[in-house]
Amino acid sequence: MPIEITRTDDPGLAARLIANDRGAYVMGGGTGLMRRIHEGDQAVRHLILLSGPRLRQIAPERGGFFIGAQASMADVLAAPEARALHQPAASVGAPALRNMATVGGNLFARPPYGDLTTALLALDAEAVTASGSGEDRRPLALLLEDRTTRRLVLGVFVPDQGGARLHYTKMTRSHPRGASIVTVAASLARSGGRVTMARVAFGGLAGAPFRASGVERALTGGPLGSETIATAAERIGDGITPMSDALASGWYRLEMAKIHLRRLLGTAQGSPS
Amino acid sequence: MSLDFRKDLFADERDDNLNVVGKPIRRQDILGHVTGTSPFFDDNKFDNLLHLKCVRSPHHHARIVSIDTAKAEAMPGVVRLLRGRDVPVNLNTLLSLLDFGLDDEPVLAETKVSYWGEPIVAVIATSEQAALDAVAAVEVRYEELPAVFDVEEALKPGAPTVNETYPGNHFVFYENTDHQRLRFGDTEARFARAAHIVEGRYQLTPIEQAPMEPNGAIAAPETNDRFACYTPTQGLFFSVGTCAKVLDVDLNRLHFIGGTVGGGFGGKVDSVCEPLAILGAMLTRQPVRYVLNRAEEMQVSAPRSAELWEIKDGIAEDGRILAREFKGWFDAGAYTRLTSYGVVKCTGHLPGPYTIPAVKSDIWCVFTNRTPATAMRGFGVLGVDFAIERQMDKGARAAGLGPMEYRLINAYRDGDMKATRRVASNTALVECIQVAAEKAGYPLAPEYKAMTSMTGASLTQIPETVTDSGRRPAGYTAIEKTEVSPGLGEAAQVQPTPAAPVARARTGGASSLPERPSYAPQPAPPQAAPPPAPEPPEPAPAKPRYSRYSSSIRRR
Amino acid sequence: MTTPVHFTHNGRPVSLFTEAGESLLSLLRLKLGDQTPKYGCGQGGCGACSVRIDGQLRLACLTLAETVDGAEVETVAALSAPNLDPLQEAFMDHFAAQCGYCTPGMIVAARTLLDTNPRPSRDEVIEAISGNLCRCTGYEPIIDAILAVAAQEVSA
Ligand SMILES: Cc1cc2nc3c(=O)[nH]c(=O)nc-3n(C[C@H](O)[C@H](O)[C@H](O)COP(=O)(O)OP(=O)(O)OC[C@H]3O[C@@H](n4cnc5c(N)ncnc54)[C@H](O)[C@@H]3O)c2cc1C
Repeated sequence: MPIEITRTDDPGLAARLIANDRGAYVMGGGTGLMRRIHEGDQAVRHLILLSGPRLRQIAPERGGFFIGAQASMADVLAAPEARALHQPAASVGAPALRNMATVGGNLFARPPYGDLTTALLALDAEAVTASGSGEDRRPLALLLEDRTTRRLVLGVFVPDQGGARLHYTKMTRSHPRGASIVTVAASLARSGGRVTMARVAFGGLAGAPFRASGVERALTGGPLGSETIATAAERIGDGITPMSDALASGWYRLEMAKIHLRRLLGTAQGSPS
Repeated sequence: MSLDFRKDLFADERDDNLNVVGKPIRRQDILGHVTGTSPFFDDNKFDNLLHLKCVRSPHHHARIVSIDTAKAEAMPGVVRLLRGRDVPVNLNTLLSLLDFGLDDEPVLAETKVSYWGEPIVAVIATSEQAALDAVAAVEVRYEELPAVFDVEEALKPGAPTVNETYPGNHFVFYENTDHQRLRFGDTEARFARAAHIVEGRYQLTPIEQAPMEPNGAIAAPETNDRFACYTPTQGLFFSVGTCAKVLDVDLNRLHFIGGTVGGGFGGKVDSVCEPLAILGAMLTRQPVRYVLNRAEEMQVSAPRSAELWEIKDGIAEDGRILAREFKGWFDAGAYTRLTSYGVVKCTGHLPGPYTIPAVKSDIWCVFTNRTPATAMRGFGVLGVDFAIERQMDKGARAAGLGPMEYRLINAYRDGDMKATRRVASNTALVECIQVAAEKAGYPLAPEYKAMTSMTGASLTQIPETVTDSGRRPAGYTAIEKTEVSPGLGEAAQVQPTPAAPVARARTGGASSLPERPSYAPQPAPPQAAPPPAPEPPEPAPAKPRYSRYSSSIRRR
Repeated sequence: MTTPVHFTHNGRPVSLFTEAGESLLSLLRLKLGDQTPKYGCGQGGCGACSVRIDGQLRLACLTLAETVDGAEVETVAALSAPNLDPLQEAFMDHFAAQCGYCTPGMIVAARTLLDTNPRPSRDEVIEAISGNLCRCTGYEPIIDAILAVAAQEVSA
């Protein structure tokens, strides 16, 4: 059946269409969707081209900043407000792809993709979703966990980080750019030599980016010593099935996740809180 | 990075006063490349262009129970579907053009599929999207069969038969033996005298050539019932011959236009797209474009074969290799394509660029339910070179020598007799190693620096060679051999083919598996007695469905 | 479902109909007859279809054709006329193309880099073409060609 296309600037309509029709997809930059269409994926039947100024906005908002779902990685890189996300955004794809790939699309990218999302999880971002004619906010982690409800994302809200700092790394096979073998994002707050808060997220490792609560618990409360880090690394696999694909086996991904978490936190050890 | 031309070496063997070699000169085709105007096959423009896409097997090995195309045929934009029965000669092996091997691969699978992604139905539609939608609507029912993915497993008794033409899951060389053999000198005697025995087992995965331009073809009707085919093939005449054979048409009805290849690396010799594009153009009378997408290119276009190697070296106290034995297994995937030839080519390369007075090799070309393999750069030799060089490092350690020194001692020199019974000439390995050592800052002792490729041959005669009686394919005999040469009509006026070789008749079309020519398993012959030679074939009375390539100018 | 699109193609205004789901690459190649962008993967992974949309480097294969309505689309053909781009000359001199299939996309990516960053470092050049695969050259001649043009344009 030929594909149907709806152009609209009404988020409410777009939200209803995707909620009610499993063949309907909001189009971001199309870097994921267009490939599926080229390869004859019959699940994609209806494309919704949604437009509106808020969708591309990147602006400070009370207690943090907002990034519209249709902001591209290049837009993020050009926005000083979004500095915390520059390293993750720069690690996505290559220049042409960064001009196209959107923040909203990254939330739903097929594994092993979702690097920016991994960082957003560690930053405790909230998804701003369409609800009736208004907006709703929910923790990004919840949005990602609930795979049954299809929601229109208008953007993400990144709260001020206070004293916490984001540490980010991505391991790839090809250089300088490539798909993730594992992506690690850790936001740590420290006080008096102790870790007072840790949010640690992994991408490329399981079906979707996720927060590793076992790792976070192991890191919180004590000093960031080598032993603590090693113990925390052993918790990465808790409750997940590491994914295997043509790039790497699940076993390899998990081993690499441990190594790269240790290295990342090893550099955090030495850095100012 | 600057190149260092070592003109001091072999100076008197070279003429440096050449017009092109050694001079920076623009490629003649490069203006087209930088302006994007070089004519790749897909850059030809047609009105009413149709697009072809294939229904592919989602199983590694399965019997096809039924195919229902009704829904697909009724879809908007769909012009025509192609099935195995639409292909005039739906069984081929590429090297049949050289009379090497039996036809073993359908263009479109009819009764079973033997690898994931094997094409079953081709859909021709007015747009690629319409073709893809119709592909998704074709309903194929399968009965899954056990699959085998490992060469050693495939050769075990009771392994699933991958390819009905070769029920033992191995190619049959020269209609005679289950593997390719090389015997040179007496390895056993020399192993007995060796100071060190070094053994190694090496394994390589398949490698996709991954050209930037995927495989594909566009075919279009021309006047006089001829068909043009725009192709990226690396073997144009080979591809014409293959298409003439499977489409059962005279060569002169096919007009192939190629020459601009967007990268091949061996992956564009198999003619996988040309036959279907031309058949589509014949049956629709419109231009038909069949291009693999990247996922297809990676999954179903043939890669370099996986290889497994076992090497055993006997080394003398002073570091000379006295004897080397190879056992190799090439994974052909589900069909022969060019792997049988890769095995032969590999054998001619042994034992690598070293002089060894006793060499023995046994290599099998094995069928598994993996993607059929084919040529890739360094075809047939790259895999074994990897194994040989790992083995050389092990040997050096065993002999207590450095890797460079060990190779220098054993490197072949001009005048050395090689295992292929050719005398080595223009060798340069010694000098290459010396220069490499110099560049790497690796200190070579004066006696190694003084070595040269030009003198010092250590083996100038073919050594006395121990032959074993060899093994026929365990209880296999070639069947259905029939003379094809008589009754070729006008072919008789063409150059008489010298001593017409025995060819196999392709009787009864190709659709039914039992009628295929094959090496049918026979009860194993009693141990000592050699299996009886096949009966001399009866001359075939009937005109064959098509003739061999060498005499393909004929009346239909 | 067909939709009209109007845009400029290498400076020339064009109007055509696009099928739903059609990519810009297919529109350019099959409908406009501009065969300079190549199909290499259809997944955004190879860069052979790189074009510029409103001056920004994009992948034509992943661009839904109707989204370029009102935009300026440029392919390598825009760089070749009336005179060759210095990058094209440099690619020829440095043997930066063998099969030539990646070359149009590579040159569009390189030109986009030099337009925004006339003095790129070697690493910046590598980053700029990191989305463009080449299977023949091993990249070194391509990097050399781009750096040579940068040096020449800056000193000029
Ligand atoms: C060559 C290549 C390299 C890549 N490299 C990377 C990489 O390094 N790191 C990485 O993370 N990703 C990578 N990706 C994946 C992908 O491009 C990015 O994740 C990108 O951010 C996806 O965004 P998009 O706008 O293109 O998504 P689209 O393809 O437009 O959409 C993807 C999915 O998200 C849904 N969606 C989009 N917007 C919304 C919304 N507002 N509300 C609800 N659903 C929405 C769509 O319906 C669709 O299901 C790569 C892709 C390619 C082709």
